[in-house]
Amino acid sequence: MLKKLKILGLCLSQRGKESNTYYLLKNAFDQIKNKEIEKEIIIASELKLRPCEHHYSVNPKMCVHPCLITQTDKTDEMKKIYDAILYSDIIIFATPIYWGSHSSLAQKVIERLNSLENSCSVFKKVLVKNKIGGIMVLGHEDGYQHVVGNLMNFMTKLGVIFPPQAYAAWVGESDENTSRDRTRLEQDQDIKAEFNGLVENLVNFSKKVLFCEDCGKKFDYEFVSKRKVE
Amino acid sequence: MKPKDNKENLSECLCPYCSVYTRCAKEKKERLFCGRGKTACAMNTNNMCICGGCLVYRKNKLSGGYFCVNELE
Repeated sequence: MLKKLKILGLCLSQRGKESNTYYLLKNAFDQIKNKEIEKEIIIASELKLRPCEHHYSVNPKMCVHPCLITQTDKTDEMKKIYDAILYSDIIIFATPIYWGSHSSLAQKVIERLNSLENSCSVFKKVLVKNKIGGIMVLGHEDGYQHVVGNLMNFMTKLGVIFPPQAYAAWVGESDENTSRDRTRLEQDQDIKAEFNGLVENLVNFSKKVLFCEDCGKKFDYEFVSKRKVE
Repeated sequence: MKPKDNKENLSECLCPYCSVYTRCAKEKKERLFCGRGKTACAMNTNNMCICGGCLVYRKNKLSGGYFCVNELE
């Protein structure tokens, strides 16, 4: 029998529930009607997240999981993101574009997630495996391919697996009228179809790759770099 | 491996130079937390730990940090 899939959406816009990023992410999640799929959206801007302190740069072995900030600051809420990632089958990073790059909030979360990546690269213990990744990017001007590239770079090192066409993106008219963007997103069914299609793609790919319905076997693969660590 | 509580390690210990270190710990002459164990004082854990930059840390192949509040396993 097919295991219940869990899909996680990380909304990385500073504007949280008011953002267009959240609007498209939520809309896409609402299209999932299958009750065997557990859905969770984390709005990172609603969490108290201390910035990464770059202990890695003092000594790579200081960057551990749980992160040293998580261990010493009980008010820090990054644990919610760590746990959600570790317990999900599908992980979507959803970010707006700001000055040609992903949001500063996305960067903060990525830097804090270094502890999960570092577990593999430095301690040779794989924490993130058998997870499917996807990316949602939207902005008012250009730059989405660059942002997707950056996020894919991090996510593949984190350990997620990408299906073909692993992202959905939209950018606006490159003028100063950002206030029209929401109406456009609400009315343009093609834009919604792009983002909904990504979620459908990720779910279908996960069903094919993670669980063999015919043989009943579960996919299990990990890779550890042989790069030496002192 | 837990570092030994000896003169050599004490001379190399960076704990008193760390921004996490507090006056309380100084007054109690606490240091070398990785070898001796946790502090009895409140520490400034919002500040950045420098354990990983210490010779004692590297010689003993430690990982993690904030040994003043986290017991070394």
